[in-house]
Amino acid sequence: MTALMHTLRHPVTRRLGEAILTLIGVSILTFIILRVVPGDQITAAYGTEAGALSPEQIAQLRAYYGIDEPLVVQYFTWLGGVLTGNLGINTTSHQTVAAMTAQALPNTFELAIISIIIGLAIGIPGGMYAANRPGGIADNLTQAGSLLALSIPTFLLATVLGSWVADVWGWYPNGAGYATLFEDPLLNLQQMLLPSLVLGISIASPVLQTTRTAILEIRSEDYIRTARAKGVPARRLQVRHVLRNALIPVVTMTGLQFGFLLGGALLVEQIFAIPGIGRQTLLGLNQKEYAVVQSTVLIIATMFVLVNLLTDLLYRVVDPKVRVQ
Amino acid sequence: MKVAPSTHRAAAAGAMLMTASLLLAACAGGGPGKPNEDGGAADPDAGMVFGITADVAQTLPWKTTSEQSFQVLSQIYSPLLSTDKDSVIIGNLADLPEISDDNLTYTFTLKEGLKFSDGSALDSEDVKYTYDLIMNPESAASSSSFFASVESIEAPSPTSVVITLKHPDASFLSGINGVNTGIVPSDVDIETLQTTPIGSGPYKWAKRVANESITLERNDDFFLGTPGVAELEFRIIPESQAMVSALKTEQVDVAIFDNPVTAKTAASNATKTEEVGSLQYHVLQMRAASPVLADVNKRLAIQCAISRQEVIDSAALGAGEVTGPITAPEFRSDVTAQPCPDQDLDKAKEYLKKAGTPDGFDLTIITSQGLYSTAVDEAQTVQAQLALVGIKVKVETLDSSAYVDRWLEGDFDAAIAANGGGTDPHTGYARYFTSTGSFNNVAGYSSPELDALFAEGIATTDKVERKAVYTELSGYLVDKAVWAWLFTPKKFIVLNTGVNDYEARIDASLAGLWKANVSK
Repeated sequence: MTALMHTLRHPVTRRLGEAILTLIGVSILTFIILRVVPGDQITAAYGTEAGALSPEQIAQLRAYYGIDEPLVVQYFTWLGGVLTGNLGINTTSHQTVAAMTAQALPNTFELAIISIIIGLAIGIPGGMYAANRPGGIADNLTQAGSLLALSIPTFLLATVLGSWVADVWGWYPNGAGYATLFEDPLLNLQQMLLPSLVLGISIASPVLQTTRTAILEIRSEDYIRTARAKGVPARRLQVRHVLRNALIPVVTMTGLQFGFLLGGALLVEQIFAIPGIGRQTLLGLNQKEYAVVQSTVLIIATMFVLVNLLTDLLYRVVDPKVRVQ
Repeated sequence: MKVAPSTHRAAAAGAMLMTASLLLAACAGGGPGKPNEDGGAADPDAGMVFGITADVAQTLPWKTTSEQSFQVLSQIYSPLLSTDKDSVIIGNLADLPEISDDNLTYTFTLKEGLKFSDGSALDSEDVKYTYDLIMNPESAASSSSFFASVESIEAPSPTSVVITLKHPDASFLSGINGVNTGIVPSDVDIETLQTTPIGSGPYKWAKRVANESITLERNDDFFLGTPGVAELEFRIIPESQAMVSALKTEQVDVAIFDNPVTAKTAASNATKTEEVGSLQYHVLQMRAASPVLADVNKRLAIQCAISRQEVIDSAALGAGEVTGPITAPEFRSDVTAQPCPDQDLDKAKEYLKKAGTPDGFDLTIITSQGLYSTAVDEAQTVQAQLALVGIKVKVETLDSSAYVDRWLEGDFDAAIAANGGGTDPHTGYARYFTSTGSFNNVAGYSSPELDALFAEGIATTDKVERKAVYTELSGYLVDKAVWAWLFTPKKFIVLNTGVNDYEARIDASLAGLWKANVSK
């Protein structure tokens, strides 16, 4: 009993428990929101023509889409399916949601990873550059640039960048039908370039600001002053003491951004026709495919929770002094 | 200014990544688009890519309602009859029928040697099977209303189909010329057809990647001739600017836009644009059933205060034509035949006085965001025009689902809507304006006079007499200001310069797409 209590009190176990409760909450909320939104699968499939269907036809369709049962029954039927690995079926394309997700998830992961790399590659050096010249013209310009990048909506940047590249260079790989990394690596990377650049730019901005602030803060700490007084070489001080500590908030930020990317790349995936999980959610919403949206949102939420847990654990690697609370 | 070496390196790494990205882009410059010579010889092995904005919602022809489903499935399924470029009904799988003197029996003779794309024969049993399926409520067929007057369907011989009606119905033939009455094979189960459609159209189903593309192959057994391209791919590109980019870089050969601004941005050396009218109409629906608009004088005041041309010019940038109620080419309404053919504010004020509201009244108009590009602008233009006579309009902009819900429930006073028009006025309008019509609640208006006119319209088979009935009906609708008809929109077909023989049609049908080919 004491062992069990101890296990339950263990921070990691407690976090897992919280995560499961969060996911149940997410699933219930998604279920309710989807039902509150006007329209159902019948109006999504038939549009205004749904009004021309006879009551018998509507009853047939409600049974076909599985929306003739009471809401509670519908929820538990779906949840029971999820627990046994059956995420439901997309009635439009007659594909299982599990199969659709298995196709979509790697594309979103790839997009998120490339975007994060671009974001870090711009943000960390940018932040360091600005922090080395606090208050100077270069610092102000870098910060202004980063604020500008942050304030441009991704859908606008995506549309403008896509049209501009197509107009000026006659290049638009995303019109050619999507190829996965394994089918055609070169085409795939070309197709990922613009969307991940757009997302990378939007991530670079908070990474740059966080890096800059962290470096400036750490540099004013007593232990840095002490280290400098002891004669630690400038480069070593910069890398081992300042940058290493400054990376802790950057890791947190990146973890959060990655979580957001998995679900939030929705518009960019839609604009560039990347068949990822974000686009799957959007199409599911448009077609009122309840099973698709419920399952996809649950998967995104699960990944978000997992990424957060992993980020917490990564703290220990970057700075062993930090412990999971 | 001194820069720390590590910062230099990190910045250099970032710059290198950016440069590599741009180089990758530059290396791929030009893309995989194919070269074209305008007017060159048709390449029989060429493929054509047709850009559509959404995946098909249904693969069973009798359930088809979405535009994309119509576009794709019309390449796979053939109906018994069809329409020509001018929307006149012509024979297709069968010749035009022999009609008995009492106008109740229609005898169709199928063409010889018809085949489905799987090689099996198409005969009268398949026609009977398809039509019986459509008439069965369990099929939930959107096309079942076309068969409302059908008593029985017989297949006395493999090439003969006899359809008997309960009462004369002059609109019957217009119902069986579209893709959602396309003939399906009677020996293939419906589950199979849902994943692998089999028809007798110019192309056959090859591959579907959900929400990405649908690929069709040439059907060599197509009864009208050899389709122009070997492979026809419908590629799903949801964003219009992405579609424009794909057209300009020659990755998509054909796309249709309803937004004139987007269509203009697609013009380039690689493209040509065809502008085509439409049978569709945009309208301000005024529900007489709601207390706000119950008085005919209020509705007439609204009709008189609206300048239809101004709505076209400001909301649709001139891309449309003023219309009266009926858009079917053979029955088209005279646009000047209504109480105020042009905006007449004095007359509008007179009607307001007659209604007992000389200073105007408050009105809410619902409109949609997402259903079509000009909807919100149309509502705002009407709002500004009605303000001139004191009618204070509140525009309620809804997303498409919410709009469809409210619209179907008739839960509105007035609505900006875009309705489909057909080649027959009865098919499009009886469901709104007859007291038993399935959309009568949406229209919010019915009367014994209208019921009688619609009944007379389908019972009259002589074309000249029939046209007179619909002219009277059209006059009734505008005299009572049942709705305020605004305009028929234009569509813009943007084509790769290498695409030849594309048949741009006013009814938006792709029945002639099989003739299109691509030059080398």
